[in-house]
Amino acid sequence: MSTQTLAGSASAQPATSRWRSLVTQESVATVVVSVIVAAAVILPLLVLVISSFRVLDTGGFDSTWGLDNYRTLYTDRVIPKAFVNTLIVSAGSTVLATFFGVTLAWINARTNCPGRDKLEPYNLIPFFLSPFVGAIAWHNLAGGHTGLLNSWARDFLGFHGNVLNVDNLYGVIWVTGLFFAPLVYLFVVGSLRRMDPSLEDSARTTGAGLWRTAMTVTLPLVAPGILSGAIIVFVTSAGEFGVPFKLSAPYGWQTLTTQIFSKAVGDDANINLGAAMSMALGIITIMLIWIQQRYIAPRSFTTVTGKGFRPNVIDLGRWKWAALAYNIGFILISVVLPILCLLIVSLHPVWQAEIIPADLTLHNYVRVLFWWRPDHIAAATNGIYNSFILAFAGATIAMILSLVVSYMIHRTKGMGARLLDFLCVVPVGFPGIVLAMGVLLTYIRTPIYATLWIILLGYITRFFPYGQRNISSVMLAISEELDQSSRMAGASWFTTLRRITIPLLKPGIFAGWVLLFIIFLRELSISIILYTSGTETLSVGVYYLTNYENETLTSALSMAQTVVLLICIFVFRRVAGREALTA
Amino acid sequence: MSSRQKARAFFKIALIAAPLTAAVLVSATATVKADDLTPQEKALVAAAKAEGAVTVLNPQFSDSTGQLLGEAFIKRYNLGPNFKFNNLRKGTGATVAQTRQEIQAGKHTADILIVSAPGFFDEASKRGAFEKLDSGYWKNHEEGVKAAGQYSNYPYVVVPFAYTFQPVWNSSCPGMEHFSASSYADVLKPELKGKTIASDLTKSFTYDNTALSLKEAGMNLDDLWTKLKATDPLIEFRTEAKMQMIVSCQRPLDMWNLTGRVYQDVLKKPDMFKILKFGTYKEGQVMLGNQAAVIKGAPHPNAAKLFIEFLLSKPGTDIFVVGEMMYSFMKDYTPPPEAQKYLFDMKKTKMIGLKDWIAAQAKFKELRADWQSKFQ
Repeated sequence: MSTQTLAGSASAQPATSRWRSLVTQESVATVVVSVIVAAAVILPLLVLVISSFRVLDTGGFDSTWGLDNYRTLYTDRVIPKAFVNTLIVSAGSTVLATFFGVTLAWINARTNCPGRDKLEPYNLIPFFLSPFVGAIAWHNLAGGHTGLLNSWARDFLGFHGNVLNVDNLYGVIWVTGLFFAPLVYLFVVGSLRRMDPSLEDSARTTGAGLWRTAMTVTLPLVAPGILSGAIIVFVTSAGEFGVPFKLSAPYGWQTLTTQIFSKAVGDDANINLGAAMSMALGIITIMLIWIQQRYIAPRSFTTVTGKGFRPNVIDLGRWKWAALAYNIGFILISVVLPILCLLIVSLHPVWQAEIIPADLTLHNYVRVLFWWRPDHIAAATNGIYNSFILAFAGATIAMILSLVVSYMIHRTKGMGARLLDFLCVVPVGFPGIVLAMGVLLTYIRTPIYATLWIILLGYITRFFPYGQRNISSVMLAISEELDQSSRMAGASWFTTLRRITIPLLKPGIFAGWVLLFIIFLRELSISIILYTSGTETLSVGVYYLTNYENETLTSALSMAQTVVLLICIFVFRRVAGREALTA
Repeated sequence: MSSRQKARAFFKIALIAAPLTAAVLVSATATVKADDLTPQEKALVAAAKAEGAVTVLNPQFSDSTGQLLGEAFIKRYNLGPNFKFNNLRKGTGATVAQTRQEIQAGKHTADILIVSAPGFFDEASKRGAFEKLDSGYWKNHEEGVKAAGQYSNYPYVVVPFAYTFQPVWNSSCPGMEHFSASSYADVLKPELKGKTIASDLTKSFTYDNTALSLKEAGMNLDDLWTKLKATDPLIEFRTEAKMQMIVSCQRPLDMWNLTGRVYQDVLKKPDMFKILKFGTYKEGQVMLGNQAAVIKGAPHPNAAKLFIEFLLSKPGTDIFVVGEMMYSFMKDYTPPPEAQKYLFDMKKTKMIGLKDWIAAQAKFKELRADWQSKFQ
């Protein structure tokens, strides 16, 4: 009996210790984080898929299973055109952004253009600003009839009619292309700076000229970077809501995002049809992201060698001044002119498409900023307050999640790590408006509905991969041996994370935090689906004023948002340094 | 006009408007003695105060009107400084969509829904989605609402106000100096090409009901759309956004807008009263009653019922009539003087409407498809 007991306890002990060895801080954290990430990412998409097969009746209360929503995607009068318009906008924006991005990157990384170091931060500013606000500014700058540039062309240059008109699909391409050009720039500039000059030298010594070398050697070498940037721009443009909402939808050119918005919470609501449209858009974008991740991104490192070198700087001769003018021109049209226009419009009580000095007033700023005043606009003042809370809390939570996820991906091996890596790609592939639809459908029956929490959840789900990539880029540069030494010396996983890993990752964590803070401050696509009374955000405030007030109040809040973002960009540059983004 | 003339004009208008507005607000926001309240109001005050807030989901009340309504409501019933009045403004379709979603999910963020959507209110009433009202003021409105052929469903759904779409234009824009509109023929003239706006029927019940009412009154909608399309209009939905197009001369004429929007721009810049014009249609004005109901399961049902009473009372009516230039069906009601120049006399104007507002909803799909075939 006693022998049996001893034998029993002997066999039980290894089993217990086996369990104990499995239930470590690390494994618990892995499981918890994996479940959180999986739930956050998969659940809304699953609900979206299910909803897309529910067909609403005419009363709008009851639904049945069916394929009618998908049938409507091609039988509806507007949706197929919206689909085509989306492709046109995405393709056009990609071409324009790629042109601006590549040329500016080349000028800054590889030529002797004067002042290129000083110009670079300004080239990146559009990336941080709100494209929606850019569209508002460009509408007032170059809208048909109402654009200031048109007005000036008529008054000072004697033109008749409208010289420019951005209130159409071309306007959407123009604004989206300008605002997303820095994305291509960031993908390309790194490759150009890291490029081995011996490859170009070989071409030049065999008699190839500057143009031929650029086309046959430089361009193919940075092609993966260009392609990656182009795909990201294509996907981001397809998911962009604010620009087509302002510039094309009112003039008869709908895109998928404006239609999804309309079907989700807009004025022609059929949330299940919206889900089907979201699925269509999501499938396209996730496929493109998969191609980029699977085939293109890995190739972009092939130009990096172990040798130390500095890339060639090409002497442009007299053309360096043309390059400088081109760069300054880009900054003027993408940053200076839009901001100036917003300022001018915001100083008028009503906008009559001309500057009326006698009318100038600061009253619009009083109404959108001074929450203690009785005539303040709650959607604007609430928006500012809520956006700061969301940006601060969202960036903090997202970076904590990103840190643990990055650790799991790069410091643990096996299926779990690969699965987490995949889950981090999925939200990047789905446009914000699509993900927000899923979040709304999933959590409408829970206590977080109609609170800031649901918006926070949407933000973190959609954007935490940005933070994760930021940390990963730093983590890959840190040897695993440091962690292993700490663990060998007896430190627990958490202690190692706290005392070794986090201090080493600090620059990446802080850069990621500021980046997410900025993104959350200007976010529109998710907030517009999930907000309600009291949970408006800054961009929702701008949307509200566009829809329910007038251009002058809209411009005042847009200016306020732009100033806040410019301050954040300054901080980001100070704390993260020049290489933070290009890394 | 010189800046001195502008300033003079501003002061003239301000001199006339300020005392009138002040008088309306003072009378509307004055705390009333308990004896002046109806028994129904008295019964609700304590519970409303305990609930501490009310949220009104509607497409109509501007921020300033919402602010005035909230202040006057709190003051009239002495609800205290901590009572919170929330005015949540969304589009007509969006208000209905949100309410429907929340009814289905059993989660409610708004207490009151006010929107012109008879079909929705009827369907939701049948499903027991609204609280039963006991109004002391409804009797003053019921007769007018019925006479105007508007949909109501007391004790669940009442109609505190109505609006109608009128032609609005900017006479300072090129080519509009001598323009005037008193019929649909006026706003569809070929020479207006590039100056017009088409209201998006796919996004609004009220545009749909206006079009269907005109059809019932004998208008050929196909002809209307064809002529409107020939003027190469911009398609827009919200009246505020359309008003911005009118003000900036982007599109100086809107066939269907609201005089309340004109008033709101005049408040921002008094000179606008001289250049923004509006007319009435001799073919008939379609009056669109806005239904109001308290949502069952709402977080503040008593405060919501009390607010409905306030909207049906004269002090409440005066505020939204002035703020939004709405029409009230209240018996023997005379709008405050500053509102009178923006409102027409319903007794002297041809009014048209639908025979069956509920059945109209079933016709939206076909109507919208016809409209889309012309414009989209």
